[in-house]
Amino acid sequence: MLNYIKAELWKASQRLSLAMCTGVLLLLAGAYSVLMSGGSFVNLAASLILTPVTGMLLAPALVQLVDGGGRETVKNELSFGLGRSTVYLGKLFAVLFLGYALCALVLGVCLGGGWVLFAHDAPQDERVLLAALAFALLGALPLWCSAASVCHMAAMNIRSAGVWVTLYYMMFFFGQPILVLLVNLFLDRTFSMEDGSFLQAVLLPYSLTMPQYLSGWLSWEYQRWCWGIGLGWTAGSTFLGMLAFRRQDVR
Amino acid sequence: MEEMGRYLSAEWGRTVRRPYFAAFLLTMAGLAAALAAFLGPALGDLYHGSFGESVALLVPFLPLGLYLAVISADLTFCDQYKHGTLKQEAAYGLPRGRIYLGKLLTAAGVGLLACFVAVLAYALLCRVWMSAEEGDWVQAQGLLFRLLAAAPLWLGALSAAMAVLFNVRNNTVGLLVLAAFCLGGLGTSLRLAARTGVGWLARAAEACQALLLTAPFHAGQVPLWDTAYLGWCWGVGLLWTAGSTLLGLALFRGREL
Repeated sequence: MLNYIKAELWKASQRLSLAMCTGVLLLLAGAYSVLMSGGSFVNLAASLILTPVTGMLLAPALVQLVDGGGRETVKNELSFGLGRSTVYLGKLFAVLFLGYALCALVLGVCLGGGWVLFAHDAPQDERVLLAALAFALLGALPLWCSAASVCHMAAMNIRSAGVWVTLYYMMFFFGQPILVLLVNLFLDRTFSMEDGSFLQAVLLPYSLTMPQYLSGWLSWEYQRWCWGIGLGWTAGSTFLGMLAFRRQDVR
Repeated sequence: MEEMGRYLSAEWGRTVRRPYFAAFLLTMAGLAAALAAFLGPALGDLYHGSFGESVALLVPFLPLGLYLAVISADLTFCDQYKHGTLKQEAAYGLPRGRIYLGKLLTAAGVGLLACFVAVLAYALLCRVWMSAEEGDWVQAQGLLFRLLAAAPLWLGALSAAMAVLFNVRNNTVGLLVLAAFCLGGLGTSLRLAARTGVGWLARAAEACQALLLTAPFHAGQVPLWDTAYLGWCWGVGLLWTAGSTLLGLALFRGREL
């Protein structure tokens, strides 16, 4: 399995898209850091806390980097004798590794560059905000994992990548208002809003990275929600994805 | 004109024969029916809306049409670079303009058909399951008005998708950027830019926001048959349609297949 993951990562590293994606990300992150912080390190840390949502946006791109164009190679891999679970899980781990590595790189560049270049005008607040940033990232890790698993499930089982990529972004940008509409029709007559927001977090995990959840979120309950919902989606989508992939007639 | 008509019928025939097409239409009808069933039999006593109110509930779902337009474009275009169909059509002697516009019009037809099927299924089931009330016709007009306003915006998204599909070799990457940015992320990026405090950037960002395809959908309650709103929607939609078609066609003409 390790060899397979290494092979997938090597294959992804040879793609021009990875270099371009990294370049664009670094550029955008740099611009965001400079514009939103106004040159102060403490502001940089504060504005970075709002960024984990980009991981949810990048999930389809990352999955495409590993799984894109894989339809032809999968046939070869399976006829060579590799098991379907190895193929599916190996690619999933490669996606996750790639994602976390990119995240570390971008954050490292932003924070490192900021620490060196920006003004340290509020040193006592810096440690607090950096701790808050670490807390936000800890909560985001399982959520990114869940997004990658869902996209991977779609990529391995739906032939046309255009369809699932479009549907994913549709759910991301318009899923929440629609869900709120549907939930309000039903829940506000029987349950309290607290149950409503939990339902939203379960159905639309990305909303946990959004600011509305982040106010009053510095609690271990938030972490429990993130890890529970994130790992739940990961397990569920991986299970369904593998089930469908096993039955697929790979031609 | 005649040849365009023949090309269109060929494209249409090719598209409807694909299982993807039937699956798309069935899914649209199915989802619409599921929504009606959820509001009707499933919620039962918890939902007291009349036919009119249920029909008006479709309005918040209209922005989804932007993404479904991209799917319609993908359905009609379907990997033609990979299969070499475009190369053959150009080699046969068909003018590039006809190829581009023919596929664009076919995709628009597919999208409109899917929309029609979904709205019809929903309305029929609502008529059956919800109670009829006095204000029904006004509410139904409201939906028709918003559909009329949404149509050019959907066409704009479709045209942008076709421009991407014809010109970006790796279709998936192109569609990804389109779906993530033009249809969603651009709004967020502009809002961020508007808040940075750099004067000209903020002003430019605010001006651009009104031109986004998603902007008219966020308008909330609009007076029935408000011409200003219709003008805004048609203006933005036609801007995106004309702009992306001109750009896409120009790039496609210069392209070596």
